[in-house]
Amino acid sequence: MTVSLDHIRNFSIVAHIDHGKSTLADRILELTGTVSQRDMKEQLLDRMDLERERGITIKAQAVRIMYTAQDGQLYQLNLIDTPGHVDFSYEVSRSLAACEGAVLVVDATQGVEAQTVANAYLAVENDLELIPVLNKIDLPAADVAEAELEVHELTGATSDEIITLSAKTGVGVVEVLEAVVARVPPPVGEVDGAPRALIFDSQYDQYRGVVAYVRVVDGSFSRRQLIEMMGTSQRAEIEELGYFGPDMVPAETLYTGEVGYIITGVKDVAQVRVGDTVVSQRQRAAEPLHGYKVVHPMVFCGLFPLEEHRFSELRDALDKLKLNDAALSYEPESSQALGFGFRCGFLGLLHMDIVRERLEREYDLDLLATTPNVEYHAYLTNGDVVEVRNPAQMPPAGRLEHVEEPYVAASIIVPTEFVGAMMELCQGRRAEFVDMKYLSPERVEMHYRLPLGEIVLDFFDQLKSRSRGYASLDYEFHGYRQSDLVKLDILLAGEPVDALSLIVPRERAHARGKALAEKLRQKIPRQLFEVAVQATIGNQVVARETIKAKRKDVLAKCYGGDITRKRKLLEKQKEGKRRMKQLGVVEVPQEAFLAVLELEPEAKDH
Amino acid sequence: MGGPVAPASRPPTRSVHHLYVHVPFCRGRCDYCDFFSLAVDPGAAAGAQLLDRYLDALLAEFELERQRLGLRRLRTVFLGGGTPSLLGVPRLERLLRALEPLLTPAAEVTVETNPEDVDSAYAAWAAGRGLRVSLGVQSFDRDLRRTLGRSTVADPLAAMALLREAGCANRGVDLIYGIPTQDMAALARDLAVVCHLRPEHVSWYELSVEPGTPLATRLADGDVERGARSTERGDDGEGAADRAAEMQRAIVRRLERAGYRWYEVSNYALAGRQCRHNSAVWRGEQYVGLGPAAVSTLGEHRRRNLPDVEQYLRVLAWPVGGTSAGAPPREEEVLSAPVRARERLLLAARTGARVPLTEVAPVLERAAVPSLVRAGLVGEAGGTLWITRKGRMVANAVCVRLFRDSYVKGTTCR
Repeated sequence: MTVSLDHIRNFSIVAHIDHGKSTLADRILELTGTVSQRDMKEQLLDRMDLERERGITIKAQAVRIMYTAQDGQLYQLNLIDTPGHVDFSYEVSRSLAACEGAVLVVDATQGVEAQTVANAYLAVENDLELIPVLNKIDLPAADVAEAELEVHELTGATSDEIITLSAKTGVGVVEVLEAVVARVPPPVGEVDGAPRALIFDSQYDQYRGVVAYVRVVDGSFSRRQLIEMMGTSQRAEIEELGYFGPDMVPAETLYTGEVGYIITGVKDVAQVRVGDTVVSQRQRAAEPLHGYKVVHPMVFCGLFPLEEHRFSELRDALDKLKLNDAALSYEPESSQALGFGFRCGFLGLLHMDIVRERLEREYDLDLLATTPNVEYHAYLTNGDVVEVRNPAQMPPAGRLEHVEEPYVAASIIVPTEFVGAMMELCQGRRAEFVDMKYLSPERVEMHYRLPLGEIVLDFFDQLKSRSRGYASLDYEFHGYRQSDLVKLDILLAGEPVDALSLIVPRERAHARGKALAEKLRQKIPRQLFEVAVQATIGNQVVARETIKAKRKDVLAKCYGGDITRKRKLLEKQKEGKRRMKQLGVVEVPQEAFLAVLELEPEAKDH
Repeated sequence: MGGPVAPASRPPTRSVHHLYVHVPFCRGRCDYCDFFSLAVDPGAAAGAQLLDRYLDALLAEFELERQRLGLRRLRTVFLGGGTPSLLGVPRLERLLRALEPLLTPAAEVTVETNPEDVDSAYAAWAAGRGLRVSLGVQSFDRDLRRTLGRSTVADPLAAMALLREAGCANRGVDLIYGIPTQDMAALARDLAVVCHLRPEHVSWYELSVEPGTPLATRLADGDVERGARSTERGDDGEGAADRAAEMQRAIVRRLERAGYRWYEVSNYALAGRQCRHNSAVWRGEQYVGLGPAAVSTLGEHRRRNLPDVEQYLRVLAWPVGGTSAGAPPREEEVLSAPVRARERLLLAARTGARVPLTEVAPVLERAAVPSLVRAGLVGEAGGTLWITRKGRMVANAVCVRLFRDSYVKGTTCR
């Protein structure tokens, strides 16, 4: 069914995490009959098990909705669901580029949060019509007046422009759809012009190759058409195209303004880049569409298979994950302690966590992850610059001119009563205060510049615990700055363990060395021998702890009937050791490699 | 240096010289015990009848095994339980008469005995028969026995005196340490009594609180204190193991000074008085077990009679000497070569026996040996390997370290 351009609306739903974005999407699908009652389930657009379990959206999803509005006309609405977490804001920005409007969901019990602000700005930057809505008005804790005030401050929207609703009960959902029809402008494009489509996402299908998610900007695309990706010059024939309903529904043609998918049989994801422009070979458009910034990983960690011989399985698994996760990067790495693995780059800690969990779950790998770190720029005395993604590879102090580390511009939104606690936290993390503004008499938005390296530790947890869960955080990369940093090494039983090395600010190096050695002593169970844990900077030992030797570990009785039981117990213990890493004579449990994440905040701050 | 070189595991065809008889009855269940045993009152008619029927069934199973295995000479017999002494002298006598034709002249016959069953008649019978009596004392301290839920009526000292006066020349005592509330001073008192009595043999076990036992429940409820808790900064959850180590060291030190040899994790004996039956089991020799829940290890087979007295009595209810009695229901395990090698290593770890490297090579993580030798936990010389006295205290961890990772080598443990 062909719909004229002025009856198409492309929009996104954006929100701070947990503000009810996916629930609103569910209700819209239900109300418009896009999904039958029978097939309806919660978080319908979140396809991954992990998304459902964690109640979050990781991957953007698109769906076409046919909606008969109150003016009696039939509209085609293309809804693009987006992730809410700061790690995945690049997914949001890509999706927004395929839309003309965005529904900004704000939890009426929470008010405006950091990602609400970030998403609102993103929408404005993309020239989108913003439809602010207050969700969860059915909850007793909802404070509509206060939330309205905050939304007004943020977006300038007047009270009658802000829709109140409950995605849970369905109240107000029709009003949202009517607002989309009335306020979101229809797409503008040359219906008869040279065809152009923007790839805003892609997915890899084992059997069919790359599935490109596209928004047709000009002209139209049909089956068997010969196309080209402008950026990569990859040429192909369209094998299948169609729209999301929400499953893929094949169609003959995708017209101007429509959102859908294109399958060409191209297997190489690198050839179908997100942000690239699809054009027709026969009627080749001259100019590409405005694409996206390439995403750069911000956080790195080493991933090693616990069983060394499974290295190639890990590589295959990463190759496959990468197909659907453009932001993931990885390069082979070898560690004296852990053998062969990969230094992987992620958008943030949640992203890292999710990739690791998917590798373990979907590919049945037992992994050991090292402490996350950022990318340092080491300026050498000979004028070279080295990018250091693994602390163990920081050049020795003698060759260093200076070191730079990434900073972020962070915004924290918090009730006024916690401002002091937030300042204290930020000061302890080498943060530089920029400014502070009142969103309302009760809530404040604080701006800081701080080293990303401080955030990748437990900053977010601290932020939440020191504000009783009320603070929200958003940040973006803000360039590199010179810092006085040193490498802290850990020795176990006299042997350096490269995987435990850290880059730390010089003035805190001693305290962290002490705290880390102490934490490792707690994390590493007693061995058959006494084991010394030492923290060193250069050749200087700054802390030493001792893991005592096991003194008794033997069953009292072992007679005829006990032998089988006892043997099985020992065999089981042996198997259990596979979760441990043997470093020289020391058996180290996985958690020990993340010990630094658990350092007491006091130990870090002094 | 390690102990004497243990002989190679017997091939399955060699004859069986060791017999274990399980007597799964007690007057009452002790709070810490998770062995298979039923409460029986031998004084009551029903109890006496049950014990008589049980003896019939035992003798039937013995006859069955005698014929099947071609038992000809028994070097050791061990009557364990439960409480074998609860059978009473007449029934025990009947059992021994049946075994007698097979016993070698120097055969070791052990009867686990409860102090309350020892009167002068029992002592005289045991002495006359030349039995090895293993007395279940647990502690000479009455309060500690009460904590364990043991009978506090019987006096172990009186029982020991009766046995000595009757001329019983091979007495052993079974003791427990690490009893809730027991401190080093209480342990020293038990040690002093043992050294004063000077039994030929001492078994001294660390109390293990088995899940599901009444003692475990009481400890969980906080009715009994677990002993002084360590609150020092260095407590890493191994405080209990440290305290147990301290107690065991005290026991080893004191008993060795008194002339006992520490020949297994929990066993000590005067010269030549090691329990020959258990030593044979620990060397990996074949033995046959009779009675419900009894285990036999015969070549590559380990089998266990199911712990079901009723069924056992029913299946074996045929006249003694009859041929139609069926074998009791059993579960059986086949011991593969790697499994036997691992067992050999784990048993040797408990006794310090030297193991020829050639026998355990396939299951041994060779790379683990040098660091264990350096730490003084393992010895290696002349193509043999042994676990030292220091290693014996941490035998579990040493074995786990010594076992080759079977997954990597493709010989799965399960």
